[in-house]
Amino acid sequence: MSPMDFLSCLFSLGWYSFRGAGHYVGTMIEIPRAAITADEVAQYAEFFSFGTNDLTQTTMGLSRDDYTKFNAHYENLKIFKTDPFGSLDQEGVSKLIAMAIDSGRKTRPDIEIGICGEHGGDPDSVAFCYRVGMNYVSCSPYRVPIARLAAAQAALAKGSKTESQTA
Amino acid sequence: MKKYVYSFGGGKADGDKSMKDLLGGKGANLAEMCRYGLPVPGGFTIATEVCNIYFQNGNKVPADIQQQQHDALAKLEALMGKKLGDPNDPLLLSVRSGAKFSMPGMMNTILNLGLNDVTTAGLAKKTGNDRFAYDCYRRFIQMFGEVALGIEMEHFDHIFDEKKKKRKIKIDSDLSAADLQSIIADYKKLVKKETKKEFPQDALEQLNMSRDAVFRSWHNDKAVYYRKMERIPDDIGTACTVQAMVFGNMGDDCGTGVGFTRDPGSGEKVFYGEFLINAQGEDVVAGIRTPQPIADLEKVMPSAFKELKEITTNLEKAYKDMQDFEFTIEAGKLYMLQTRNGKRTGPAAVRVAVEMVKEGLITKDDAVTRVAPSQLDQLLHPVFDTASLKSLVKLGKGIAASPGAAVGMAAFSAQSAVEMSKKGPTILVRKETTPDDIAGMDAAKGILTAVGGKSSHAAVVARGMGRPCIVGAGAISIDEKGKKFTVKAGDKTVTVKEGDFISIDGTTADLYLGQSKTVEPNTKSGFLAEFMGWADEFRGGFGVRANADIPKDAKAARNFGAEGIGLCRTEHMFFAEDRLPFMQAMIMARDEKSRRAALAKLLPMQRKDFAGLFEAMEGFPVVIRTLDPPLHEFLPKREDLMVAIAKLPHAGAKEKKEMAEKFGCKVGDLKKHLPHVLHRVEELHEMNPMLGHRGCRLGITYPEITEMQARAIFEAAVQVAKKGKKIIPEVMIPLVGGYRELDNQKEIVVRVATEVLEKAGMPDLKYYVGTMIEIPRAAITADEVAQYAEFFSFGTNDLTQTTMGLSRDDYTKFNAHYENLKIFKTDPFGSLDQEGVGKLIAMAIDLGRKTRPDIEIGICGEHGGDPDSVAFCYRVGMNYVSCSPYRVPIARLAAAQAALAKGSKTENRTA
Repeated sequence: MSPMDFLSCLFSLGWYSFRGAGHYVGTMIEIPRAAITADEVAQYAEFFSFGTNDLTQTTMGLSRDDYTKFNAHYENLKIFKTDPFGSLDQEGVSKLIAMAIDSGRKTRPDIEIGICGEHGGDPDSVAFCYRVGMNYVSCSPYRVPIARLAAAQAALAKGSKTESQTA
Repeated sequence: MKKYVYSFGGGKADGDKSMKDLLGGKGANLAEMCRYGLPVPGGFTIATEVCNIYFQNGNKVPADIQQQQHDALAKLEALMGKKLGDPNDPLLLSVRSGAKFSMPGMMNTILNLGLNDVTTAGLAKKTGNDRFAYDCYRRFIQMFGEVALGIEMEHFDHIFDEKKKKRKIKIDSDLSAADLQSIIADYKKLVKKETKKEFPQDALEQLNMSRDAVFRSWHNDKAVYYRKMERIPDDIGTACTVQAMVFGNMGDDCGTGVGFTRDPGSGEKVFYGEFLINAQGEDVVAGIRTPQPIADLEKVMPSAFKELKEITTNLEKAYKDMQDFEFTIEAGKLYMLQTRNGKRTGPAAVRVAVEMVKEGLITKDDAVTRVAPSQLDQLLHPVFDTASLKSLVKLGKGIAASPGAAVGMAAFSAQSAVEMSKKGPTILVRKETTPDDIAGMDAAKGILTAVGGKSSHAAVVARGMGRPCIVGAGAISIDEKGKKFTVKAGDKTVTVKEGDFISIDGTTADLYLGQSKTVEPNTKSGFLAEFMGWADEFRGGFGVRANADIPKDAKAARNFGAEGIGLCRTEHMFFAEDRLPFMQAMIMARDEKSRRAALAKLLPMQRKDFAGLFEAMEGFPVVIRTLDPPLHEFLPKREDLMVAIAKLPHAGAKEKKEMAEKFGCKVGDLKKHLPHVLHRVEELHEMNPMLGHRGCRLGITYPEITEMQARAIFEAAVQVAKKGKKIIPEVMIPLVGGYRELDNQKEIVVRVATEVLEKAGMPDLKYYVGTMIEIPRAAITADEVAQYAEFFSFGTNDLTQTTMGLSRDDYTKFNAHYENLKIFKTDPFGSLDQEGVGKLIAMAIDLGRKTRPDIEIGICGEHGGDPDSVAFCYRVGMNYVSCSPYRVPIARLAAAQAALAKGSKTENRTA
């Protein structure tokens, strides 16, 4: 995790721990096994935060640093639509995230779910997070306005079915 | 009130053999024997649950259970007509552990309980045998002192040995009653000094303390280690059986022994065992005196022998399994102290199962269910090559205790064996082994002892572990401190020091100096072949294939019954000395043209390899995986290159020549070649090669590699098919994360295949293109992948790493912690993580079959040879497993057992 990821995660955790009385204990979901067994994990976790940098690496079996060796090939051949570390892989990693949210909420319907990978500041990824029913995204401070706008657009795109987020 | 204490004796019992969970194996079997009306000393068993209650309750047994124990004791006293602590005619007790699964010698036992200063005098008077009474008391203080009071045994030994030295006595039994009384006085002083309390004189207090000590021994180090090794759960606890003593040490019309209804080493149907005249139970197993073979009992005590043989034969029929029994003869009368299904070696397990089916005792289902797949391992390992043995010096012969051939460095302590085994194979050499040697026995490839018989600790444990073992090699003289042994071989005296290689044959009991060569065992005939035939009947259509890269392995796999190759790693062909230069040239090439030139040199070599595999596997499928590892693996190491470049300006002619050979260029080219290669190595350097540029990612960036491999595969296919042989090629694309990668590579394979097959006039030759599933993304999108894949093969080594985000190499840094804390039930790289990775696999199978119902699905990770994982693969509906050739029979049996279990919905654990 880069220092920036760390800050952004702290930011989100801090935000929520002041929100209500008491404190919350939860977990990052950044290993496929945790996503697959999210129903069990939710018995203990009061919140999930998808760490999509690592979750993308592990789910795709793809090292972010080494991807640069063949990214041009892969993106030219349209094997990947775009850099999966820049914008969330909506056909693979996202499928796993959606599955984990479903099975987590089955165990704990009010579980708080967010994302704290760098994707949290990418508009397309923010739109996905909105659609899939997350409670929040977290990103680097300078990208917060971008994320706010992206979320607003996702809400509009979805129509009137807006769910009120925390103030 | 729940029942926690179960009485037995006088032809009646509260329990029976079905109650092993509650009474432990020993308690349940004693109850059963009582029910049969066999001569069993009366007693009672405190249930395994009480062990857990004891620990939960702050190491105390609650009052209500204490009361049940009290009532059971009163019942026993009435039955025996004796009272515990009676000064004139005391009831004496044994207190023993006994869990559901046998854990020989791992937990504690106390004998002669109930003796104190007063009752010992009473016993002496009643038996008219002072020596006997004081010897019993002496033994009791010693055992109780060690087990219940935690005093080191060596303190007692010291007192005992000093006395012998002082009296100039060599044999224990020469000590007089007066000597023993003086030893007892010293023992009691020792107890006072160590515990700050007198040796407890109250028999009830002795009983409660002994019971608690038995419960506590559940958690001693060796018991914990043994459970881990045998995969016995930690939370099932041990029962505690309290039983009236009978004495095998009251004189020459007494004795004690242990035996088996068949030979637990070979499985042959012979009455097998050992006994000692005038001895107490532990003496036989402890290896202190070398016991007599059980056949001799017929001469010494014919009626007791006849009764014993009759009883044990009937027990075997009743239990429908080979029995391991213990008995004591007191004043000519036989008592049975234990019976249980005996532990046995792999060869014995198979032979006993086969012969019992022929005797009509059990069914084929029973036979197949009963042999643990891992036990077959012992039948599949190489045996000594007789020609090679002739060139070695034979050092003598011992007693064959556990069959099989083992070669290793002599290690003279358990610790040495553990240490040295990190570097190479070892043979543990000991005068005799004790339960404390367990880790060393586990680490060693074989075990050799100088004393002890077929029932000694070394023999029993080695058989349980499947280690080849020779015991009682009396001719060798071991100096454990000096870490060597000497032995007369012919007219020479040979000294073997720690680290010297020896070869032992546990089947013939022969010991050799040096390293013998080995050959493949015969699996095509005999008991094993017959047994495997039955297993295959139950396995039905579920296939077992082998992972094999070269024709030699493929042939071995066929011999072991493999029905195809589930994984051929083509890269292994490129590491061969004659090919590596071309592979390197391909990697060094800067453009497609020169890459193709290098690949063209590799093509005929690959074609030849593939043709060999197809021939060896005629009629069966052969799955060939395209190039998988990152390219840097084929180039020299960066560090080696840097060292060579630094050395080159100062190197002499000889050194330069060596360098040129090592790096594959001419001496004159070194100066240019080395930096050139280094540059490429640095270019290829990756942060995390496992998740980097490898697998299909290589084939996508360098399509000409996939093209060459496809050409080699199909040209080989044509070559072999033209000889009239049936072949089934399956081309497998590795490291696929989604359908687009597979689509890209499949297009190449199909294009080349069509071209080659049409040119050869065999356009109808059937082949398949599929993929490894080793990346979670491929599993999650398996429905899409299956549109292109004609088969899936789960590569569970990598799939476990990626799904768990866990590097196999680095897991060793914290595996002990994770497994002790039960975060992982077991090593996920050894046995498939069924709750996580398994869930993903099941999901992928479902998705894949939705798209393509007839898709062929298998596994080719190392888990394919692990019995529990094989059972999982069967249950989730795979078509086959693939494993290393030597594990093929294990997988065949595991699959048969899974098939049988699916019928009855229960999984059996072998005794």
